[in-house]
Amino acid sequence: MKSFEKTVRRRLLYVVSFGAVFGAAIVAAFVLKLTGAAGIGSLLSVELLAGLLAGTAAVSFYRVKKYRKVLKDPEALEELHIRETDERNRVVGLKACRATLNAALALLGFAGIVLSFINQAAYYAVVAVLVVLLALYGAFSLYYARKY
Amino acid sequence: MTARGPAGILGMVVKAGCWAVKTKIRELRKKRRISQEELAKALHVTRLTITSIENEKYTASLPLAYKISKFFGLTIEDIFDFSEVGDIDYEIF
Repeated sequence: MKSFEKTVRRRLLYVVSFGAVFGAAIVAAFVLKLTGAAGIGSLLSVELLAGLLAGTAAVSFYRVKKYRKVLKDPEALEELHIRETDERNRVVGLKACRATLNAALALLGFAGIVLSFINQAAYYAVVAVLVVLLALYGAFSLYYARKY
Repeated sequence: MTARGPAGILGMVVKAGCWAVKTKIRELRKKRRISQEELAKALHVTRLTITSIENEKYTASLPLAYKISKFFGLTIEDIFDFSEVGDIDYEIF
């Protein structure tokens, strides 16, 4: 359980660091946008930035609260450990990932076909995403086939 | 393995649910007056895992089956019924 406690502490550190860096970047973009300065600020809408900021803050606060609570209570720590290492949960996660990948590939393929008649730039973007996904899938399949 | 339908051009699949094996966990647990929660805690799994195994929706991995058998002081075969595992129904479509 000690090693898991260390893992949770590390995660807490990551969440705080990520929240701080990402939050600062969004605030900077927000300021740039509002002051009318050129660059990244002009590419993003205020609404999108506000949404990103709120989302990042909410996720960071939720995670920090969760991990702090777990670190204070050994029972909650054990419960989290059980939840994360539970084999059924892992199977569910793997099946969900597989189903998501299949659905994403099918949807991207369909979108590519439709877009080929409408917009060439969007078509190439979708095809690029599809190719990268397939390449990643192939690479990971090869890696795990050799590993096990 | 029984081949059905047209020749297996597209491949074979194992029918969903065939891997779930029957278990005696529920009756052993009730006999010893242990709750699902207590058993789950002792085995370091979630209560839902125990429920799914008891309801034959999920088959425990070999290490978990070993832990369960150790917990009850029995062999894996005493708890899990593997008689239907040999009858896995492969379907060629």
